[in-house]
Amino acid sequence: MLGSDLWYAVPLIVAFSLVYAATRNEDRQLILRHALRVGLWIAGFMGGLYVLMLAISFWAQ
Amino acid sequence: MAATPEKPPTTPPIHLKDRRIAAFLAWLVPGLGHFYQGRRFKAIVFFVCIFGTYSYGLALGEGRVVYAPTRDTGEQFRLNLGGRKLAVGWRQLQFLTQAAVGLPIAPAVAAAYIDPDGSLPLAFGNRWFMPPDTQELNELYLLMPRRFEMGTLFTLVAGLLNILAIFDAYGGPVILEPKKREEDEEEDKKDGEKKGKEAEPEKAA
Repeated sequence: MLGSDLWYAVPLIVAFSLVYAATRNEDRQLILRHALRVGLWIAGFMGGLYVLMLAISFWAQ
Repeated sequence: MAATPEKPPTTPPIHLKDRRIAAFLAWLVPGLGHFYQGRRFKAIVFFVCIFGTYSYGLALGEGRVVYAPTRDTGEQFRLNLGGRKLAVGWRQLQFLTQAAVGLPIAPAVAAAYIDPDGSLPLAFGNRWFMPPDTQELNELYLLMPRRFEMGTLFTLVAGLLNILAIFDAYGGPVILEPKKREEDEEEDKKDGEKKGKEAEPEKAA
């Protein structure tokens, strides 16, 4: 996990969620709050997929 | 006395100044359009996120992931535009997306069209931004397979993110309405019913 390519996703998620939130709000606090929500949602979604793939690869053996 | 519900922070009035200039500046340097409009926090967010993503991608690919396509356009696909068929190279499309970052891609244009021989000390003196031919491109993929792919991806994402920022500079944010509370919705329903009842006798008369 430590040497995984998945770490490349972290800066992308941070940058995307901040820019996305900034294009949908004007207030600083709202931007940060929205960015946190979006970031967590993406990370959760990707994490869910990761676990699913892991499970499938485990059962497929 | 009932406690008044906490109001969500309201959006301050936005003065977009000259939208076209703002959009152009936003394309030129990420965040510059917003800085011109006085939206400094967003300017910082856009600059750090977009320019940071672009720079990180460029560094990952050792300066070879951003290049202006020249004669060798590589693989092409065909677009059908109202009967007209247009052949577009993947590399052209890639550069078009990266070009949305604005001025940071200027060295790539210079390397491809002003200094194609690499005789001028452009861009750190290395082969940064120089358009590779197909053979060199294959070698680059072999030399740094993941980093080259990731570098390309990061610079592409930076370009796409700046398109969002350009739209924001031109038209302002897509303000999201706060979700209505159930109590408010019930009040709206009651108001609607009241109005309906008031309108009935008028119709009968």
